[in-house]
Amino acid sequence: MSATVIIVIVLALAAFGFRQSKRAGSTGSEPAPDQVTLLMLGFQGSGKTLMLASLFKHFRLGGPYGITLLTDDVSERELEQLIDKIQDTSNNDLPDSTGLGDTRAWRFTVRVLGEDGNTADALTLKYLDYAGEYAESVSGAGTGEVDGEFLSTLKSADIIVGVLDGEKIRRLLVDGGQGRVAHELDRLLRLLVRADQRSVHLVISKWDRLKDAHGRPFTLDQVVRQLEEKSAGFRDFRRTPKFGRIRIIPVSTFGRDFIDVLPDGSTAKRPGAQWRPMNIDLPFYCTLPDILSGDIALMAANAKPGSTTQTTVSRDRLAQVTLGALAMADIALKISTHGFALTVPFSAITARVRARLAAPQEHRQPAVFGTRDALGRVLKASYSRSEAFDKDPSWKIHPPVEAGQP
Amino acid sequence: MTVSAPGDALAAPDRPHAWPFLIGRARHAGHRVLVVPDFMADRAAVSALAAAARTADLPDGTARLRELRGLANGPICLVYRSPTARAGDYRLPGDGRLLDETGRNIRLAEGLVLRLPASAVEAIGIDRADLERVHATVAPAYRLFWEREDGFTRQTSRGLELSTPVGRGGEPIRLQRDAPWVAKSDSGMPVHPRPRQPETVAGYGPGRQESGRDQWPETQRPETQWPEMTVARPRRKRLLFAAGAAVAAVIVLTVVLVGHSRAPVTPHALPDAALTGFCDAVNQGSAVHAYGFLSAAYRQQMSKAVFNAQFFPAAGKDESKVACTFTAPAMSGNAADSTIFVVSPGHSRSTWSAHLTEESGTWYIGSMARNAGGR
Repeated sequence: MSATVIIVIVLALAAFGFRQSKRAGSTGSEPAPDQVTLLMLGFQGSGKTLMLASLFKHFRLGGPYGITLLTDDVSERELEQLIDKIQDTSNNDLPDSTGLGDTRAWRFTVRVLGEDGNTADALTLKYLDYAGEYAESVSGAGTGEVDGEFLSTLKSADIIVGVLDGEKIRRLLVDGGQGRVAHELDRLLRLLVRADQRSVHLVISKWDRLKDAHGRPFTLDQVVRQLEEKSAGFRDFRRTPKFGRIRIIPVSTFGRDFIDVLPDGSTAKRPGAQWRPMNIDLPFYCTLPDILSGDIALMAANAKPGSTTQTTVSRDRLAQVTLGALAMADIALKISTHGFALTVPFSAITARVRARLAAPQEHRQPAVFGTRDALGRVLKASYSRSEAFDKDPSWKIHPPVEAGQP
Repeated sequence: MTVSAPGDALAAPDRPHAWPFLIGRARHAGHRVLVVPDFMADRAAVSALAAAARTADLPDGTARLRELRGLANGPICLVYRSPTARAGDYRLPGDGRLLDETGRNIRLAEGLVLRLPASAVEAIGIDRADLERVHATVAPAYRLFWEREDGFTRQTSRGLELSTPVGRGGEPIRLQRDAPWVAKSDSGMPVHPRPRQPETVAGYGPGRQESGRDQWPETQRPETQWPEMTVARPRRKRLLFAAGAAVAAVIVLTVVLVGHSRAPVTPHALPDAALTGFCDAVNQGSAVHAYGFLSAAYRQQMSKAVFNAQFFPAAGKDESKVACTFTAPAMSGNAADSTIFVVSPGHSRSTWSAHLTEESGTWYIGSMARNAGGR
């Protein structure tokens, strides 16, 4: 009897291993362990390349959270050159538009600089820079050129951030009669609705340009209200139950008082101005909490009948970041043939993780600042920064929209 | 519409031919393929051309050479430059650089497509006059695109005859080779051609009557067939992986079964694991197994009978419905504390404060105290 059981188990494992490796071989581009993919989904000219440069600039030196982005030497050099080009106010040079052949996946190691000189790598961040024309093609406009890497990233990204071009939004709100802009907005939002990801946010780029006819800066509340008045598509999108709560993040890659827009639409840098991007870090800080909450929702949605701790979801469907967060919070995970069980209810996971992050570090032996600690730091910073944004009265939107509300 | 080079003529079969192409954007209209070789007018080939022609910052007298692999058209090479568009170069009004609506420079991809592998292109060599001829061929198309923007319709190009080394008096262009661009199949795997290349630089005459189709006249069909495309499948790798998994499974099972016959408890390196094992045993009604998670010292204090009475009050009855859960243990050095909940329908719920201790790397429940207030 036991020999029969052993043979059956061995055959089942062999078949499982065969299937797993076939799955791994069929995609051709498996994500690296602990990799998080952030896709800024925007049309041409919306500011994706500038956001990349600004993001790298923001995390260059660590800052209060001690988080920095590392990349290979060639990429580092190119990004530094990009930064130099932008911040040099002795000329008006800015990065060229991204060509159709210039799709590029930038990979960063997110490293945490701890106390006493300790450092540890929390995760890898992938940021795809691409010609916005490819997004237009997928949305049904443009001339139909397609890029395989863009399509692949659109499907596999952990979080998608829709980029609304602030300059075009301004034209829609101030100049009026911009049917083309409204249609473009609808097409972009439609792409987000079609995406499989549940983690979606909106960024309004070029926020420094959003001023009314008298030159007064718009508040976020004003922009959102007016967009809902002028675009039924935008109004419907905010109420789509699929996404839960969508953040709308105003971002300025140049910051205030760095660039002037000339009558012909070109830009001129103000001599001697300081380049201070605004809110450029927020899409990054939204990523990890969203991945975690998305995976919790996935587990709960597939809970075994009557259970609050067991799920039929297989462990490999969870992001590595989620697994890291569970381990960091000492939430054990027991795998069975049909899913796994946790040691706490799904509804308690976030609270447990956050309690763990808030607790003073316990003295374990030996005290080593490792990947789990680094991930904890990044998570802590993510919650802190995203909540600070949510609570900031200058970014408040009235009334807040709940998914599914008419 | 098909663009033609000045002085085009049917070529002798031994002279290489190349097809001009152009990729660019206008002030408002975004990047697109503006001029494409007539045999590449299908959507897949246009996308491949667009994706392969990445912007290259090159010194004067240099062009980028890039081979495209995995296309139905066979091996293709691009030889191109990425000039910054200037009004004067395209006979457009004004002076200086052309800018898009956000004030950015406009970079174009302008060059030649050859139906040859990269090594053959390097052997042929490209002359500055060839690239100037390309520019003269595609410039009207760009001017039209600038004027019409989204109203512009993509144009196809016919093959033009390259100058031969003997006939050249001009300046040769240095070719800077880029990594090959490889087409990917729907599964994301590269499409690998079999490693067969034409042995000679074939003279591919124009001879084609319809754009977008490879219409070789019979007399000019090269003897070498285009390589067949196969998709790489790591079958052997999968078999090895499965075999490895099977062997590992046999080893693990042997260790577990042999170990199980000697001791009722598998050592647990973390308190979570010990608590998980304990609760699993309780949930499965295995009193003997659950008892094994107590430390030796605690087992001396609590007999099996007492333990069973506490945790298995419905022994012999419906034990399988007992539900044991616990809170994540709070660590303190080599000890940990947790709360264990035991519930069985129809029976009282009991709550236990458990204190775990580590002994030689293995965690056990060192003591349990029942909390007041159970139902």
